[in-house]
Amino acid sequence: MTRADIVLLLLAILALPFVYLHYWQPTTAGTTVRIMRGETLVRELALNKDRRISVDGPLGVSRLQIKDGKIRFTDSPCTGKVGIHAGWLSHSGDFTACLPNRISIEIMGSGQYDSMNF
Amino acid sequence: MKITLRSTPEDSRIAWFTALAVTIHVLESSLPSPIPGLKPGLANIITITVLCQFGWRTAAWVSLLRVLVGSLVLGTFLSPTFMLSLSGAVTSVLILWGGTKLPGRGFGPVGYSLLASIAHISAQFTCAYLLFIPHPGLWRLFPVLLTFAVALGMINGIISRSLLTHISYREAE
Repeated sequence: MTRADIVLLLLAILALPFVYLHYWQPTTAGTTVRIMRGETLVRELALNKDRRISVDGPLGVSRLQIKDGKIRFTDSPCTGKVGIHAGWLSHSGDFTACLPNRISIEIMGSGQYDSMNF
Repeated sequence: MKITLRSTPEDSRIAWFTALAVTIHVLESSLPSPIPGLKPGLANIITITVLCQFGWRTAAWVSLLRVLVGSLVLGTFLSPTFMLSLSGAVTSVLILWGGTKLPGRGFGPVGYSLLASIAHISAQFTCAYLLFIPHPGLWRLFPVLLTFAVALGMINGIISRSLLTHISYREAE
């Protein structure tokens, strides 16, 4: 190996822990949830109030439940049930969707952004 | 009317190595992968070997033709898989060009292979994020795949180095 090879290899290995630190920052508990149908925002709800929501999509009604600061799909008129299998979501940035029914939910943090990258 | 196409020795050299790289690319695509997006990138061994033996120009041809022909064989031409492949190949070819400009003894196969694998995975993540999955959660996978890229880049570089010391290349008449 040439000197350049060794320097590059060491740099790459040394940089790895920092890459983990940067991209694996701990998530914070979310405060609100955004429910989208396709590209349009249907509702934005606080997670601190327990409730059940029904959202109409192209295939039918998707049902959601908010409880103890968490949200989940309880029913959706699709075959994969990916959104339901995702279970409870509670951290800011968490996301799941029922793509066939075009309904997606994303948890938002207290601020507009949970991290800024330049 | 008779059309004659004259091919230079460089053309046939590019064709031979592209055929070899495409074969590896196609075989590799049938391997199961534990994590989506994780591939050993064995076809890059050919790119790196060609780069060290014949220079950047030939390596760039082999690398880009491999992505094009590989996608035609696999039926993924212009699909997301192809776009990810192409973005990785173009970026790593550009980065390798920069690598060849290093003064002194420069990089050997291991260094080039590392540069290529890191460029590949970074470009593919950027491409996937911009075109297909514009969700910040995608980047949570990045450190894991980067770790594999460093490890596999090093291994492929070592394989390429042993190829270079064990094969003597003879130009066909």
